[in-house]
This record gives sequence, C-alpha cells and structure tokens, in this order.
Amino acid sequence: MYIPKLPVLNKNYVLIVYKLLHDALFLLLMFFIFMLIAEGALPGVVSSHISFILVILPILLIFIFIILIGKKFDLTYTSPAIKKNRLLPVLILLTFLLLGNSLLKFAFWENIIIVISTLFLFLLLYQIIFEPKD
Amino acid sequence: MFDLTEEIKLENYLRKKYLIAKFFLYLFFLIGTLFILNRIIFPLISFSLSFDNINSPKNTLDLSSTMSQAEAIKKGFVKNNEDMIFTASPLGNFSYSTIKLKTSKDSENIEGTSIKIRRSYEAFFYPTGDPVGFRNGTLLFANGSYYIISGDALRKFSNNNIVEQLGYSKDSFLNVSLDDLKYNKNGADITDANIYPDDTFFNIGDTYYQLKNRQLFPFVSAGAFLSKFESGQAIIKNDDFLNRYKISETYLGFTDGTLASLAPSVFFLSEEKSYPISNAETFVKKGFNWDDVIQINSEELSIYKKQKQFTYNQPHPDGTLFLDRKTNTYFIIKDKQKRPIESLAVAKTYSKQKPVIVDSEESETIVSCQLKKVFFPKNTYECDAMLNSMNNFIGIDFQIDLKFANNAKINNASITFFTAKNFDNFMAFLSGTKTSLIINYTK
Repeated sequence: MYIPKLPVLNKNYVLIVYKLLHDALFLLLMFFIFMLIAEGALPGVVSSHISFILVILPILLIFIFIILIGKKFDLTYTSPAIKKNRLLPVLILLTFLLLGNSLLKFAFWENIIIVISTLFLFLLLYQIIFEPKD
Repeated sequence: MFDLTEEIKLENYLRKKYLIAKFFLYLFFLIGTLFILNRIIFPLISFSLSFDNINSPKNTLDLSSTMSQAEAIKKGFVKNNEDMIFTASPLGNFSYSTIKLKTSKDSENIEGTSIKIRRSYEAFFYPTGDPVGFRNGTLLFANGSYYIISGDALRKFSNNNIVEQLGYSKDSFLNVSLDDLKYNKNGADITDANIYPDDTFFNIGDTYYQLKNRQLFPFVSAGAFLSKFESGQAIIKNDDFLNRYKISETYLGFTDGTLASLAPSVFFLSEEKSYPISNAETFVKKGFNWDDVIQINSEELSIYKKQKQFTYNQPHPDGTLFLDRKTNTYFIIKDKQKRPIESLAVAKTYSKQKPVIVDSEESETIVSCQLKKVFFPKNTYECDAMLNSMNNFIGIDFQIDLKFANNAKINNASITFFTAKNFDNFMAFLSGTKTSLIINYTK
C-alpha cells in the first residue's frame, strides 16, 4: 500500500511558529482576563458581542499545538516554584477580586471567608500538582 | 520587545523573520480588539426570522403579539395591502435600522412596500379595549344611593337601612357621580338585610376575607388586602361569623401589578401568578421603579403560581397599569388589550397600584421607509429608517409594521439596528455603563 510521505518539518521555522504561538497565547490570555473583569463588573457587556467560546477554543488549540511541538522537538522547561513566580501576587489579587465580585450577594464576612478558602485550596492544589515531590 | 521564550535562541536571519511575524501578530490582535471595542461601544444588534422554520429557536425577530396575524402570514404568505407586524427589543440608542426581506424566487416584486416603525412598550401597542369599571368589592355612593360592585356588576342597596343592618360603614363608601357608574354593568338590587352580596370584605381577627359564592376567601396577609382597599371597607366580625360560611383554602393576594421582593429576587405579581424579573436591567428597562418594590415573605409568595423568568423582550403581563403622561390616562393590560380608565373616580380606586409611565404621543410617532430591491443577493429587498428622533422615547420595543405592495412569499426577514459612531453615542455608552454599574452594585 502506498503511503504518501509527510513533508519534513524545518525545525527553524517550527521554532518560529512555536515562539509565535506563545505570543498569541499571551495576547489571548490577556484578552480573556480583560473579558472576565469586564463581565464581572457588567455581565453581558462583552459576551453579548463575542462569545466566550471564541476565545477559549483558540486558547485550548494553541495549548495543544505548543505541547505537540514541544514534545516533537523535546522543548522542556523547568516550571518555576510557585513562591518565586513574580506573577503570583497579581494573579492572587485578580482572583480575589473576581471571586469576591461574583459573591457580592453574600454578606461581607461570608464573602471574604469563601474567597480566602477558595484561594487557599487553589494554591494547595497547584502545589500538589506542580511542585517537585522532594 | 519582550520575549516570552528566551530559552529558544534563533539565528539572526530567523530572528528577523520572527520579529516581523510577531509585529503582524500584535497588529492583528490590536485591530481585532479595536473592532470588538467598536462593537461594544457602538453596538449593532440584529434580529432575524426564517418563515421556513417559524418555530426555530434561532429566530430572534418575533411576529408581534399585539395584533392577531393570519396563519398564512406565519408561513410567509402575504397579500397586497396586508400588514405584517414584527416586534424587536434592542437595548440602546440607535441612529438607524436596516430592514431586509428575502422572498422566494417565484414571488412577486414587493418593491415599494411601506414600513412604519414605532417605539414604546409592546403591551402599550395592544389595541384599546373597553373602559375599565370599578373593582369587585368597591363600595360606592352616588346621588343619595349606596352601591357595591359585586360579581363584576353594579348592585344597588334597595334602601339605606340595609346598608346599616348589614354592618357596612357608610364612611367607607366612595362618593362618585352617576356618570362614573356607567362603566360597570347593572346587577340586581340588594333587598335582603340577611344576605351579604358577593365580594363583600370582612375583617375577622387579624385576617381579611372576601365573600364569593357563599365561601370566605382569606387574604394571605393584611398587607395583601391593604394593597387593594382601605381597612374601613371590610366589615368587622367576630370568630362566630366564620361558622356561617365555608372557608376556602384558596388565598387572595396583593393587587395586580405589585412588585414584590423576596431576597434575592424581585417578582411581578398579577392574577395569581408571580413573574421573577430576570435582572436589574430588565426591571429598569420595563419602566418599573425601585421605590415601588415591597418586601414580602415566602408564605405570601407561595400562593402565586411561579412563571418563567420575565425578560426585557417580553410584553408586560396582564394586570400591568400604564399611565399615559401625555393625556394623564391610566390603562390596564388585559387579554392582549389595553383598557383605559376613563373615569377619575375609577382611577382613584387604582391609586394604590404603581403605574408604568408611557407616552401616547411618542408611541404614535412613526418613522417610515419603502423597500427597494437590491442588486445582490437575489430576491432581496431592504430599506433604511432613521431612528435618531426616537432615542429619548419611553419604551424599548420597536414595532415594525409592513404593508405589502403585492402578494408575496417571504422566506426571511431581518432588522439590524445601528449605532452611529459619534461623540454623543460614545457619551451615551459611558452614561449607560455608569448606570449599569450603579444598578449592578447598589440594587
């Protein structure tokens, strides 16, 4: 049986695509964060014009391509320890505000307790999954 | 420019290519973001209806419920001079709209079809019905005689002594003219001092009751009774009186059109039904007032049959009271009609119910255009109607009335509302955002 030969990928160009995928992922994630903030403050302000799925789907596809290319060319990174990540305080603050905003109907102290507990669980989950075992 | 993948080093000539591609990627995102921002600030809202699949959930344009439309129209068949009416409820201020119709290929030419657009609340476009009379249970005094509205009819007490013998307080009878009585049909005179007429109110202990068909119907709370009538209209009796009549298990509720809050929801209560209002935006856009909302408890709410969520694109339910600010006339919505309250005395008895403000002059203002055939796509007709003059009108519903120039078979109808890109609309967007934020975070 004849099996057509797949074109050999030029590693240099694939690397450019790989780097561009990271840029596109960064831009889409930034857009997604702004979308979440806007939707949190004014429900429907963005989603009535552009569906969430139109942003989430490309993000997932880019993730898949990054993983596939990374595996093919053996591109691996050591993920930085969560404590040393400079983005961590910003992400915690953002999550804190988004969660708090979504629970506005709760009493103030109930809201604070739920949000802090949720954040704590998230961090714990992250450490269990990503931190080195030793 | 910062590099997210510093670990991957490229040769100089490749790095150049990467930077050019990266520049275009960022440019593409910038243009995309500006495009989306443009859509958010100056929205374009489209509604469409496919006559080939009239029940499809994808249809967003509704055939109006304000007038009965022939079955053939629902299949897209229209005759010369026949009306087809649509309703659309876009939120915002629009500069113009484009109406587009696609006919089947063997349909006659519909060029010249006239389109008239009006803006108000959909329910206020209902045809005007008969004037409303006094409500059941109302006690009236006219020209020296006493009356009660009982079983929807005006019944006269044959002599003034019967009024006293039955225990009515003469002070609670509303003084009206004979002319005010013409809005209720006449019923039999009340001649027996031992038999209470239907719809008489009683106050026994802490509970108010209404007599109907030899049964006493309790009000769910004193607040429910007092939302309709004054306490003096109920005859005070002791507990023994309860043995004279069967007590109904059906509770009576608040006056129709009551806005009731049971955290965290607000309900529109009318005709034994409760309509949960979908969100604060719907509440405001439908012309309701936050000051009119009363707190109720779960027992009071439980007597109502819960309906599906009331959203901004649904017409006001039966029982809604409109006040036309132009003519100072009240209208009550009932069975797809708006029934006027022509008598001041009758209007006074509805004064406890909070009206939704409308404007008859605005609702009669018409913007029109005529369909023209377009070059592409085939069998398509469209026209543009300027809507600037309607921006500050009360109501969010647009009624689009098409009077056809020929017999035709319509396949698709659509209407798109455009917001002009100017400073005023930008400021309107900011103002709307501010209002929405206030509603979102304070209500």
